[in-house]
Amino acid sequence: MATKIYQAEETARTWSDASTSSDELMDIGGLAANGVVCGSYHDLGAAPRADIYEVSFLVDGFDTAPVVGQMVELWFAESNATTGFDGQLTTDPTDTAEGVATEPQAYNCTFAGAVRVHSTTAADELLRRFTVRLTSRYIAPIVINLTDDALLSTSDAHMVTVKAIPQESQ
Amino acid sequence: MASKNYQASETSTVWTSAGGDKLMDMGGMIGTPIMGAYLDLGASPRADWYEVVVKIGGGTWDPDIQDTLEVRFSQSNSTTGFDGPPTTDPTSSVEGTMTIDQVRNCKLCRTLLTTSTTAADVWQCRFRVRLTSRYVSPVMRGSGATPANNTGTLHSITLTPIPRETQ
Repeated sequence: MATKIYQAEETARTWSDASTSSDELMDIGGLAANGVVCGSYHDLGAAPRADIYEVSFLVDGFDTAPVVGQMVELWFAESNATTGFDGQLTTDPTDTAEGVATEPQAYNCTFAGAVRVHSTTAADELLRRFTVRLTSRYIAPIVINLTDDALLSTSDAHMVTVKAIPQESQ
Repeated sequence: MASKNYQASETSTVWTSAGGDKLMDMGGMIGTPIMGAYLDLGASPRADWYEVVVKIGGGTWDPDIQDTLEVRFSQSNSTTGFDGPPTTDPTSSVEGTMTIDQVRNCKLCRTLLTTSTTAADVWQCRFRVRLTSRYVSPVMRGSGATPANNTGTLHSITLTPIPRETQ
C-alpha cells in the first residue's frame, strides 16, 4: 500500500537574551557592526532524532538607521561532544553560557541564512525563515552583524527559533 | 499508524596518516591533491547521506588567513575507475594519486578556510554529502602559499553514515 511521507512538527527551541523567556542564551542586543555572538548549545540527544529543522531568525531592529541591503547572518556550530565545535571557536559554548567566536571561525560552520535590511527605520524588524539540516548532537547558533549599525540594545526581542520538522510515514 | 523518520547515526570512519581506519596523509599538503585509500561501503542497501568532519592544522604551520582547502570525494562502483579519473586509483589501504585537473572532476563538497595566522590553531568544518557509489575516497588540496603541517596525524577526515530510520 502506498504510504505518504509528511512533515511533522516538534517542539521549538528558542535562543534569546536572559531578559526574554527562552530556552537557551544568546544575547545579540547592541551587537556592533561586524560583531559576532555564539549562543549556548542545545543538546539534541543521543537517540535517533530529526535532522531537518525550520529556523526563524528575528532581528528586532537597530539602534541607528540601518542601510537597506545590508545583512545579518546566522550560522550554526555543531559538535558530537560538548567541546570541539566547528570553526574551532575561541571558546566553546556550554549549555548555559555563550561561546566566543570570530567572524572567520564562523565561516567554517554551517550557514543557515541571512536577514536583509529592508528599510532605514531603526525600529523595523527583520524576520526570515530557513530550512537547515543539522546532523550533530550539539548545536549552537552564531550571529554575525554585517551591517554598519548596532542591533537594538534596549528592550530588544531578538530571537532564534529552531523547530524539528522530521518526515513522518503516514 | 504514523511513524516519524529520524536520523540514526552509524559508526564513523576516520582517514588520517596513522592510527585511523583508512590511510590519508595530509602532512605537508599544498597544491597537489591528496587522495585517501578507499572505503568500501558494501554491496547491501546502505546509507546514502553522510556527515563529514574535516580537521586540519596545528603545529608549525603559518597559514594566511582564509587560505582555502578543498574537500572532495571520488567515487566508484568497483575498486577501479574512480571519478577524475586519478593517475593511480586508490586501494583499500593505499592512497591514490591525482593531478589538480583530475580532481576537478570529483564531487566538490566544501572549502575549509584557515582563520588565523597562529601556527598552533586547528581548523574544523562539517558538511553533509550524498554518496551513492559503493567505493568512496576523500580528496583534499590546499591553495595557500605554505604547506600544511608535516605531521599527518594532525589532519583527519571523519565520515559518519546518517541514514533515516522509521521509528
